[in-house]
Amino acid sequence: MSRHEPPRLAQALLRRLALDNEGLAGDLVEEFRRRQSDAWLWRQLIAALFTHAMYAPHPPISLNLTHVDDPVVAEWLMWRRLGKNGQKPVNLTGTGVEGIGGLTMVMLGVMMSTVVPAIWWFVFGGVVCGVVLGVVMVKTQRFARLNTEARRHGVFRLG
Amino acid sequence: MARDLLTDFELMILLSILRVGPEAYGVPIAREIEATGRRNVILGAVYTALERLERNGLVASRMGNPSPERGGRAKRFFDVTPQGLKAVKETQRSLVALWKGIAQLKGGTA
Repeated sequence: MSRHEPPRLAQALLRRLALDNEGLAGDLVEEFRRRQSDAWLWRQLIAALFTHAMYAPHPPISLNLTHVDDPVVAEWLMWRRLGKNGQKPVNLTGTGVEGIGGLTMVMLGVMMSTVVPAIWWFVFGGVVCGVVLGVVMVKTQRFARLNTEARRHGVFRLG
Repeated sequence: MARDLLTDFELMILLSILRVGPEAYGVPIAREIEATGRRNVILGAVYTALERLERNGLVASRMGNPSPERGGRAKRFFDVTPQGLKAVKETQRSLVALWKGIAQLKGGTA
């Protein structure tokens, strides 16, 4: 039985690849239909995705964590507004990322204090590096977005 | 600024485009290299080299029309620019100059 379509997962990856390089994605489909070899397609596809990720020039991407940013920004702006009016918010909901971050910190604390105390310096160094990296990312990227949001809400301006 | 000499893979790609002609796109370029160079070719690597050559002004590309046998995706055709042709000739001249006078290479290519 001859099959003319790539496997479903390969099709999904080809669609993703086609966003950046339509010619290459089309070439892979054309050649797959001639060769009728899943192994050939997978080898080529994985190599194509790898070489594209490694060597293709990528435009700088802003740190736009859309699904995370909006609730965080809204929450933060609410704090600022209420703070200015002398009120305190009564109900704040955290995002999934904040929850995962919190759990990770708890896990690191447990590991450091009970399971493997000898690696405290490793964990501490990781946390410090993470905080420094986070501050740098926030300074360089997030504030631009937050400023835009703040201007839109007419609250204040950062930095 | 473009480098003066090409890598072996870049040279093979440019020569393949010249051999295939105005309808050169990824598949025939890769087939040409496989047939004449007797090596397996990764299409992604061909495109990476082609994009590098294009950035250096040695090839130019244009998009064709989408076709059903390619899953509705268009072909990207490549042409060697005059600058690319000059780079090929320069590389050939350098390689030929290196070849000359080597005793071990006289009397056949095997």
